[in-house]
Amino acid sequence: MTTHLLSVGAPDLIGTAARGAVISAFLVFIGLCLLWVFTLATQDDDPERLYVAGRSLPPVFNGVAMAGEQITVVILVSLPGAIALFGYDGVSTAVDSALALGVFLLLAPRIRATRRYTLGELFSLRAEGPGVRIAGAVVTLCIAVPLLMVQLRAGGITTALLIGMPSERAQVVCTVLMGFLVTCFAGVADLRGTSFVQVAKVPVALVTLAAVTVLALRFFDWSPGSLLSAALDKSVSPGGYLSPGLWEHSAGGGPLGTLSDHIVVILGTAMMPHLLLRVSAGRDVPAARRSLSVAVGLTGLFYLLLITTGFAAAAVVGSGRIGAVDAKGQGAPILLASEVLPHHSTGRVVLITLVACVAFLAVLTAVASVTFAAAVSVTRDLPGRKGRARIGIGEPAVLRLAVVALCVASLLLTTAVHRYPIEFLLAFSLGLAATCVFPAVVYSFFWTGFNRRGLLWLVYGGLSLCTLLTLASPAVSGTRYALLPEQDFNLFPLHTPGLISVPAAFLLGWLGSTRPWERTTHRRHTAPGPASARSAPAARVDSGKDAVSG
Amino acid sequence: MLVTVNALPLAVGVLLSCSTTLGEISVYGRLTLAITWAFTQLVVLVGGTWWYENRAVSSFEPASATTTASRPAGGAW
Repeated sequence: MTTHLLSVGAPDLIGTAARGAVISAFLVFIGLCLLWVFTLATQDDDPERLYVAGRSLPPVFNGVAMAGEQITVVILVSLPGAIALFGYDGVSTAVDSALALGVFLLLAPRIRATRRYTLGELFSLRAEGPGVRIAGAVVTLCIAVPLLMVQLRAGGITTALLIGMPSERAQVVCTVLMGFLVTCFAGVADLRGTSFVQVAKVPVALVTLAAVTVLALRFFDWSPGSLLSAALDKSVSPGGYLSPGLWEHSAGGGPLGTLSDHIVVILGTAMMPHLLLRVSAGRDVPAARRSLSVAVGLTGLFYLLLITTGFAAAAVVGSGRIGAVDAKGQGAPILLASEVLPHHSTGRVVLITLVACVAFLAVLTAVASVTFAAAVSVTRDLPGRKGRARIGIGEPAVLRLAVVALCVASLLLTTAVHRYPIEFLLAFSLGLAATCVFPAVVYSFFWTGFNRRGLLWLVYGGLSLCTLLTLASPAVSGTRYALLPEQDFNLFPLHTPGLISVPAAFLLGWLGSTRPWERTTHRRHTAPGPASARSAPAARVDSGKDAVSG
Repeated sequence: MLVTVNALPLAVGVLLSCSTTLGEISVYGRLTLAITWAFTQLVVLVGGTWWYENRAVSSFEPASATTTASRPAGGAW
C-alpha cells in the first residue's frame, strides 16, 4: 500500500535545516493566496455570470485557464514519478493525457454552439424530460466524487512529504487541512474567480518545472543525451526503461490492457464535466476553438516539461530512491527539487517552496473546478428548481450549499479510506467519463435517431458495466497493489474497463434507440407510419451545425 | 483533417505501446522507437492544432474581406 510504503522509511526529503524556512514560506504563500482568493469572491446572483462568467472570458485568458485545468496535483506529482520509475509507460500516459485535448478540440465548438454547459443539458439535446437531466447529474457526481477523493489524498500526501512528516496520521491531518482550505475557496468562488487562479498557476507551474529541469541538466554538462543515459543507468531496468511493459499496472493486462488504458485516458480526460463548463465560458464558437488551441499549445509544453522532469528525477535521484519513498513515485518532483541545488543554500529553499506552492495551487484549483462543475450540475439538472424558487432559495444559494456538501462529503470519504490505496479511483472516474459521456455526446451530435431510451440505456448501462468491471478487475483484488490485496475475485483481467465498456455503451445507445426486435414485430403487424417525433429535438442540434462550421 | 493528422500517429503509438518487440527498436543511440514516437505525437498534436486554428481563421477571413471589398469606399450604395 502507498501509505504503508510512505510510513516505512519516514524519509525527510528536504532536510531539517531547510524545513523551517520552506514551511514558513509555504504558509505565507497559502495566506496570501487565500486573501487573494477571497477578493475574487462574488456576490453576483445572475446564474449565467456565476456558472460561465457571463460567457465573456477572452479566448486567450480562457485558453490559459483551460490549460490550468490539466495541471492537477495528481498529474503534477504522479506522472513524473511514473516516468522516473517506469520510463516509457509513464511517458505514454502523459502523451495520452495531452492527446485528450485534441479530441476535445473536435467536440468543443459543437458543445459551445448548443449554449449548454451541464451534462444533463447536453443529454437533453435529443431526449427530453427530467429523467435525462437526472442521468446527467448522476454521471457528473459519479465522475466528480472519486476524482475529488484522489486529488485531496494526493494533496495531503504531498504536503506531508514537504513538511517532512510522511506518517499516516500527518497525511490525514494534511488532507483535512488542505480540504478545509479548498472548501473555503470553492465555497466563495465562481468560474471567473477560479479562472484567475488557474491563469496564475500555469506560468508558475511551467517556470518551476523548467527551472528544475534546467538545474538538473547542469549536472550533465547541459547535455540532454547524458541526462537520459543517466536516467537509464539509474533505473530499475536499464534495458527496458525506454520500451513498453515496465509498469506492472499497465503491462499486467497485455496488449488489450494497454489498449484499454489508452481509450480510458484519452476519451475520459476529454469528457470531464469541468471542461464542458470551461468551454462554455467563451464568447462564441470561434473564441471557444481559439481557447482550445491555446490550451493545447500550453498543455503540450506542460507535458513535455513533465516528461523531462521525470527523466531528470531518475537521472539525479535514481529510481530506487524514488520508489523507496513511494511505490508510485509521488515524491519524485520534491526529491528532484531538493537535490538539484546545494544543501543549506537559499536557492534550494526557494525552489522547494516553489514546488510546494505549485502543488498547493494545483490542489486548490483542481478540487475547486471539479466541485464547481458538479455543483452546477446538481443545481441545474436535479429536480426541484421550481420548489426552491417558491420558498425563496435562489440558485446561487443552492450552488454554494452543493459545493460545500460535495467538498465535505469527499473529504470525509477520503479520510475514512485513508488506509487503502484509492488511486484506482482516478482510472474509474476517467472510465466513467469515457463510457457514459463520450458515446452520449457523439450520438447526440452525429445521429438523428438517438432518443431518450437510447440515452438512458447508454448512461445507466455504461455506468453499471463500468462499476462491475472495475470491481472485478485486478485494481480491486488479487494483486499486491489492489484495493484488497488479500481478496481474489478479479474475474476481469484488465485494469481499466474501457475496451469493453465504451463499445458496449455505444451498442446500448443504438439498441435502446432503434430497438430492432420491436421494429421487426411492428413490420409484421402494421404498415410503416410517419417518422417519429424525435425529429424535433434533432432539428435543434442541427441548427447549431451552421455556427460550428462557420 | 485534424483527425487524420493525429489519428495515424496515435494508431502507430498505440501499436508501439502494445508491442515490446517493436517499441524497443533502437532509433538513435539509446533512444527507442517507442519513446521517439511519443515525442513525435506531442509535436504533431501541437503543430496540427496550430495549423487547424490558422486554417479556421483564414477560412473565416476571406469571407469578411470579400464582404468589405464589395462595399463602396464611402459605405453608401
